[in-house]
Order: sequence, then C-alpha cells, then structure tokens
Amino acid sequence: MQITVTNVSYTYMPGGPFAVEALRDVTVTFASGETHAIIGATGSGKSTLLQLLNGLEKPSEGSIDAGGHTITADSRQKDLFDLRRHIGMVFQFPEQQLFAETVLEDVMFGPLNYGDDRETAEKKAYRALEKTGLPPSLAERSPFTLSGGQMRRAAIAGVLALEPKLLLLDEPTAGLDPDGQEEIMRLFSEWQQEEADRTLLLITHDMNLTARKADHIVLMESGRVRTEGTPSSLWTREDLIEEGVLPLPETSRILAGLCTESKAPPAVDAFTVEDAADRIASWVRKGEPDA
Amino acid sequence: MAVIEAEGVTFSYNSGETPALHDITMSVEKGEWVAVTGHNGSGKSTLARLFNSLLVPQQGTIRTCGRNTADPAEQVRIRRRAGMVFQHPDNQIVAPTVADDVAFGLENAGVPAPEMKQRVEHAIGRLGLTGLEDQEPHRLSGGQKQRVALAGVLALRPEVILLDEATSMLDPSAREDVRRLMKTLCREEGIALVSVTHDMTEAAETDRMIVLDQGRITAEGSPRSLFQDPARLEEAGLRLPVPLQLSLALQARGIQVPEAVSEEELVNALCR
Ligand SMILES: Nc1ncnc2c1ncn2[C@@H]1O[C@H](COP(=O)(O)OP(=O)(O)OP(=O)(O)O)[C@@H](O)[C@H]1O
Ligand SMILES: Nc1ncnc2c1ncn2[C@@H]1O[C@H](COP(=O)(O)OP(=O)(O)OP(=O)(O)O)[C@@H](O)[C@H]1O
Ligand SMILES: [Mg+2]
Ligand SMILES: [Mg+2]
Repeated sequence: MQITVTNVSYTYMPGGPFAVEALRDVTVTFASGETHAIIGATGSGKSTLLQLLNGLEKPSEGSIDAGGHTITADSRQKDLFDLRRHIGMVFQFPEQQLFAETVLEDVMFGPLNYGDDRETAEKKAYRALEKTGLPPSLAERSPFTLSGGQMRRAAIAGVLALEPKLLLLDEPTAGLDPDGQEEIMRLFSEWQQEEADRTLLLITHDMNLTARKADHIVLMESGRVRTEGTPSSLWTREDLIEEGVLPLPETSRILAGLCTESKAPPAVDAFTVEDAADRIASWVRKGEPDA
Repeated sequence: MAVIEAEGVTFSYNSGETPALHDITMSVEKGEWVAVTGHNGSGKSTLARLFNSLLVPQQGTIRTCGRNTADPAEQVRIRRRAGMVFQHPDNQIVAPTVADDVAFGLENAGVPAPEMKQRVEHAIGRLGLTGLEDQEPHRLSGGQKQRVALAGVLALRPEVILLDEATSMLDPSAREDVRRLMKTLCREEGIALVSVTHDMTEAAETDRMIVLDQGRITAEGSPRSLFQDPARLEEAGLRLPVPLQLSLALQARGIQVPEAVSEEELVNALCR
C-alpha cells in the first residue's frame, strides 16, 4: 500500500490557549512494499503523524491518500473503517492499546471485529502469540498483569493476527530484550515478504535499527519533515550530523571518532559490525609499509 | 554502606503460581550504579517495586535505606528516599500540570516552598521541559512524559534512584544526557542508582551488572567480567555491547585492539 501525505498540518486543541501545532505542512510519500523509518527528536510529531495515517485523528489541513482511501478534515469515521481493517498499528506504549480481560481475547478482538468466527479468530490468536514469543500459559492472564516487554509482544500479536497490509509501528522494539528485538524485527520482515505490496512504517529512536532495516528514512523536526533519504544518503550528510539533528548509529559514531591527523577519515556509513570492522581494518592498514 | 539489602527474597503475585522472584540476595552500596538486565518477564520491574516497598516479599527481607520494606509505618518514608521512575510514565502522572507533577513528591516530603520552587525549576530546565510547565502531562509526547517523570525524581533528590527503563522513549542525545546526569548524581553526590535496562551500552558503563533469568540471579559482576562470557549472556537474551563486538571483529581481522567495552575506549585504542 502506498501512502501519500500532502500539505498536512495538525493542531491539538485548536483555537484555545494551549493549541499545539504538532504537524506543519508535511508532504511525504511512503512507497509501497518498503520499510520506512520515521525518526526525530522528542516531540517532533512522529506519533501524531502515525495517528493521522491510521485515521485515528484527521488532518486539520491537507490530505492523506492511503491505498486509494482519502483522509481529510471532512472524512467520516465510517469511511475510515474499511481502510483501518488493512492497517495494523502498534502504539508507543502498549498499555494504550490493550483492553480486554485476557490476553487471548485481546488478540482475538481484531479478527472477530472484522468478521472471523470465534474458532478461526482463536486459531489466529494462538498462532500470533506463539510467533511473538509469548508462552500460551499467559493467554488467560489479564494483559495488565504482564511485564512491559510481554505487553509489547501481546500488542504486536494483536496486530499481526489482523493480517494487515500496512503496519504502523510506534517504537516497536522499546522494552524488548535484545533477543526479542531481533525476533520481532524478523517477524515483521517475514510478514513483509509474504506479499509484494506490504508496507512498513516504524518510528524509532534506535539508529542502529534504522540504519540496518530502513529503505527510506524521514527525519522530523518541530512538526516538519526536515529531510528524507536512504541510510547511506543521510549518514553521509555532514551538515545534519554536525548540527546534531541526525544522531549516528553506534558503528558510525565509532568511525566518526577516529582521529584524522595523519590520514583521511573513513566514511561513516557502515552499519553492521562486520562492515564497520572491514572499514576500520582497511583504514588502520592504510599507510602501513606492506598495505 | 549498603542502601539496599535483599536477603533470600521470594515473591509471587498470586499464591500457587511460580514465583516472579526466587531467593534473591543482593545489595546496592551508597554511590554505586547497578544495572539490572535480563529477558522480558525475568523479574526486573518486580525487583524494583520490591526495593521501594510497592511490593513486599513473601519470604526474606529487604532493607532500603536501613528500613524494612515490609513495615507499613516505613513505606512512605522509603518511597521518598528511594525514588522510582516507572517503565510506563502514565502510571506516574499525578498532577494536572507538568510543574505540579514535578513538585508533587517535594510537597509530600514537606520541602519549604521557596526551595521547592527552585528545585522544580532546576529539574524542569535540566530535563529540557522549559516552556511546558503549564501543559497537562497526559497531553505530551511519549518522550516528554518520560522527561517529566525523570524531572520529578531529580527534584526529589532521593538517596536511591530506581530507573525502570526510564529512558526507553528518549531520543539518543536526550538519553545520553540523562545518563550523564545520573552518573554525576551517583559519582558526586553519592546517590545509589539502579537502572533496569536492555541497553548494553548503558549497562557497560555501570559498576555492576545483575542478570536475572526466570526470577533468579544467574550472573553478577562488573560489566567487563560478565562480557568475558558471551555464551552466558546470550542465554539470558543479552548481547555484547557494539564496541566490544567490533573489537572482537577487528581482532579476527588481525588488528590489535584491546577488548573495549565503550566507544571511547575503542576509539582511543585505534587512534594511538
Ligand atoms: N494529546 C495531546 N494534546 C496536546 N498536545 C499533544 C498531544 N500529544 C502530543 N502533543 C504535542 O504535540 C507535539 C508532537 O507530539 P508527538 O507525540 O507527535 O511527538 P513524537 O515525535 O512522537 O515524540 P516522542 O519521540 O517523544 O514520542 C508535542 O509538542 C506534544 O507535546
Ligand atoms: N500484577 C501481576 N500479576 C501477575 N503476574 C505478574 C504481575 N506483574 C508481573 N507479573 C509476572 O511476573 C513476571 C516478572 O514480571 P516483571 O514485570 O518483573 O518482568 P520484567 O523483568 O520487568 O520484564 P520486562 O523486561 O518485560 O519489563 C512476569 O512473568 C510477569 O508476567
Ligand atoms: Mg511519540
Ligand atoms: Mg519491566
């Protein structure tokens, strides 16, 4: 599913003394079948944008086209229902989306809501729980008695059980243990590879993850799109790095720290440990007698 | 001097269930920075809640700042002296404005008004919340809420700070800034810090790491000593920090570098 955002602005509590202009004239396209990362400082408007894409909030100005559905200030909730059934959204804090009496009921809710019978919904739910690494023994527990990371997994299970075409993920790996972060990202890639037009948008502060997984990065700043591009095109932009608006992945930070008195610095766009090691090794050998 | 002492602590949320924590014995010294890590569901948050007497052990005892956490008469005092920042900031919002929320703990602790005002202002400035003082905490972004919770504990100036994944929603530079701030409090003011974290870069900076697995302590020691045994870490769902992974990858390529646990250490070694 392709998403086109055109001149979108959004204001919380418009007109009042506490009005907050969270998005200002945002125009951006999220191509179908790709992984998009939305990054940017605290309060830059990332979660607000995701809520608009999901039709949870409507733009104050401008329009959004998601797979042929148009969302504007005048859209009615009824029209958005059909769009929403194809969208899986994971909220920044899983507590924001869990609500049922048991974990199982929570995960079954989506499939039931969109027409599955109980048996099918339950099957889908158990499968999704297993995929996210939640033991079946937790299925009957109240979601609010889960640990933070278990809640995150339950929320993700609920979204995967919907078999969505578009995933909107707000900090999906926050609170997961390092193993879990990898497993969950693998799940998302598998989901994406099942069909050609599956689009994934994720908000994250994890630059290592962004650099390794994103096809396209959108950098937000104070409610606007500051810039966008591929990992390599962004992390070779010295202006952004110097200004401090674009944090570096850990491997790039190490590359950027190498002293440059006697030889030219290596490029910093190596994002896996192996790539960074290759680059540092050849940099170290440069200038050695038999290099 | 130990500010937290846990001895033989076992805790279950519901009787008959497998305990969330089994036979935990550990302590935290004044001025020490301890990282608690481990799988999701291994008992980290439960341990933090036991330390500030939000929960009480069924077996064993915990003394926080010298007081028994099971003694109902001590609980309010313990929570004031061992300030906690929760994993989910909404659980902690109590007041209608950011400024009142940050001041809440101080008010209860009976801090005089002028001093309170000054401490609140300082904490708000330090956490980058200036301009948001009159906002409703519920109407903030995720990272802004976490900053409010952190400002509250900073203003309170407790003897022990318990951070339960308290910077998980902060952008990298804010996270780094909070880490530096907390380190300063620990090193210069002798505040004991317990950070529950999945971030190995943060864990690498602490004095001691405690690894929990299914409610038991399975490893404990300086980060450097724990990183000597990657297999054991992986069992607990953890990884080596990136600088160390990179050091090992460089060694495998015949480059002579020490096993650096921090970026700084690796960069310095490479630039020698
Ligand atoms: N419910 C709300 N009511 C009023 N203002 C809000 C509300 N939610 C967010 N805001 C404000 O809108 C702006 C953008 O917030 P948003 O949640 O989109 O940021 P974000 O980029 O997701 O930040 P973070 O990384 O901290 O989660 C911020 O200034 C925030 O204070
Ligand atoms: N209120 C509760 N009632 C019943 N069981 C609970 C409750 N809170 C937590 N648990 C269970 O206790 C175990 C430990 O939970 P805890 O929250 O301490 O884990 P954690 O190590 O903090 O995990 P995470 O990294 O996911 O936050 C988990 O299996 C969890 O499901
Ligand atoms: Mg957000
Ligand atoms: Mg926890």
